[in-house]
This record gives sequence, structure tokens and C-alpha cells, in this order.
Amino acid sequence: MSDMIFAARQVNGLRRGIWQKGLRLQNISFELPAGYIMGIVGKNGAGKTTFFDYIMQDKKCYTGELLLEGREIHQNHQQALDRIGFVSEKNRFMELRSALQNAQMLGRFYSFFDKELFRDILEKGKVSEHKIITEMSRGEQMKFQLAFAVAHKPKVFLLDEVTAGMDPVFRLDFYGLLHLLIKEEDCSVILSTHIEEEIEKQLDFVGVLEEGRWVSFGENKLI
Amino acid sequence: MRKNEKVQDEERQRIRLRQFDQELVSYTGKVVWFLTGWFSFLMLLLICIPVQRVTEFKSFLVLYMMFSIWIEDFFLQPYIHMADAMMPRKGWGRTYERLKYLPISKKQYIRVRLEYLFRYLWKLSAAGLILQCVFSWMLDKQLTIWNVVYVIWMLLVMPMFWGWLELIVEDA
Repeated sequence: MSDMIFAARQVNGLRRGIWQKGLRLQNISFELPAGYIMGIVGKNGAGKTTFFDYIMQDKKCYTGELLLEGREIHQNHQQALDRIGFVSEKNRFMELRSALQNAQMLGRFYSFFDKELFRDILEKGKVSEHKIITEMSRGEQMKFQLAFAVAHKPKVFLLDEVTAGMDPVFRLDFYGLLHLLIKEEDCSVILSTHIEEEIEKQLDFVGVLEEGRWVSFGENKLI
Repeated sequence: MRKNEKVQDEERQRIRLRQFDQELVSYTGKVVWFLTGWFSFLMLLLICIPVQRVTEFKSFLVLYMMFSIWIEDFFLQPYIHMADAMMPRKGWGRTYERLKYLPISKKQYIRVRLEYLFRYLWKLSAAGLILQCVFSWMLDKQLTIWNVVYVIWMLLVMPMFWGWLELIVEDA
């Protein structure tokens, strides 16, 4: 098995507000080696998106450790974000600009951004690079975000219910692309999904969340 | 060594932000400069009143406050919003919302914007200082340190403080 790329150790998520008490996520622990796809599954409100938020947001709102390549991500969060490709339902892009303008303006914040690769993936997904973000369908927005994430060649992809709006054909292509990236770039993928077929066929590891509690984690066939 | 790396990394972030801002402002800063200029002009008119006579115009204090907020607010609009201040509210999102998951820290985001604001305000303060000194000399034949402190407070410190406050509460 290759090196561990992402790990969570006894992560307990805290609530952000002063008046909010208690834990939002409890005892999340797992280790993900390079070259694998891990799925986080659970009902709506189980805490899947919250888990991604804890990784992505600037402030550390949890106890325990979230490690990317052996380093706590909040020790140098900017450096960690440089190595994370995040695709989420929440649109974080410039809505009134085209896909290409977004890539030009926002891609520069990464230490590496391959504009040609970005264009290639958009073309494969049949999304015009000149299309304005607000004019894109949900599926197209996900394809655009995925192309953006892939273009800066991260070590770990965090995909929050990405495939929900995709057509089955592109979904297959999408997993093909992920497997290719994993093979070539030695990266890993953590995704949340509801789709049973995906859970059965595409995931190497599965973690189950239930009302914020980490119920189980292991290889897909064993869960 | 590590401290050096951190300093270099922060400098790199600021350079990338400035490049980003150049493109951003080409979309968002088309008209709003007019409002900044207008309120700066009004503030310069008010600053013509020598500080020794300000107590005679107590009702103007509210205007001072309003103008110093508006100057910084309209100056920062093109940098912190995704659409021009004069455009419909469609796409009126905050810039930081779009940057918060990118490798850029909020500290650098605030610093770069405060640098822009400072560069504008010190020129405004210099103009204000000249006006204050000229009018104070013409009307009262006196110049004190309070003339200088007054202009710097009104045209530099106050708007800088409001600007900092506006940026710090963004997405808090």
C-alpha cells in the first residue's frame, strides 16, 4: 500500500457560534493512502458537508487532527488549500464571468494551474469555456468546478455530492478521469455520495456518518 | 528559514491578489470612482473650516462622520464586491466569498485592500492639510499642531478605521 495522504484523527467538530454548544461531528478517524477513492455516505444532515467545511474553512473549528501528507492542515492552511481540489454544491465562483475568465482570474492563486488541462476537461464535458457561470446547469457547473480543481493538480480531491447532477454517461467518464488522475498524479479522492451504484462500484473505502457520528470505516467490500 | 519562507509566501499571495484586483476592478470599478470623488470633494470643503472654529458648526460633525464612512466605502466597493456599485443587485456577491477556499489568507486580503485605501487617503489628507493650513491662516492668522492632528484624524485615521472594520466583519 502506498503512503498515507490524508488522515483524520479523533476529529470532533465544534459549533461555530458563541451560543451553540455541543459537537457537530464526533470521533472521525480514518487514514486514506494515496491512489484510492474514499466515500463518505450518510443521510441528509448526517454531517458530510460539515466535514468538508471543517477542512476548507480558515478557522480551525475542531479538536483532533486533520492531516494532509502528515501535516495538520490548519498549521499552514493556505499551503494545504494549494494541494486540495474542492468541488462543492456551494458555488464559490464569479457568477457573471465565463468559465475561462474564472480560470484566468482565480487560477493564479495556485502555485500551479494548467489552463490547457482545464480547457481539455471542459471540452470533454461539452461545456463551452465562454459560457457564463449563471447560465450553466447544475451538472455543467460541477463539470466546470471539476476542471478547475483538476487543473491545479492537487494531492487530494474533496468532492461534495458532485455526481448528483451529472448524466450517467459523463458520470462514467468522470470516474474514468478520476482513476486516470489517481494513477498519474498519485493523489486520492474523498467524496460524499448518495448513489448506490457509485458506492458499490467506484469506491475503495467507505466511511459512514450517522447524525454526526462516525459509525464505521473500512474497505468497501467489508462494509 | 521557516520565517523567511512564510514572509515570501505572504508576499507571493499579495502579488497574486494585486494582479487579481486589476482584473476585478476593470469590471467593478467603472462608475463608482465618481462617488468616492464626490464625497472626497465634500469632505475637503468641510475641512476648509479651521479646527479652532469647528465647535461653531456642531451639526457638521454628523456630516464629517458620514463622509468619512462613504469615502472609504465607495473606494473599497470595486475591491470587495463582484459587481459595480451602480449596477442592479444581480451578482452583488462579496469578493471574499469567492476567494475563501483558495490559497489566500484573509489577513493578506485585508492588508492589500487597506494598502489601496491608504494610498488614496494620504493624498487626500495632504490636500486637506494644505486647505486647513491656508484657511486657518487666512481667517485666524494662526497654525497649531491641532490643525494637523485634526486633518489626519478626519481624512486618514477615521476612514482607515472604517475600512478596516468593514473588511474585518466581512464573512465574520
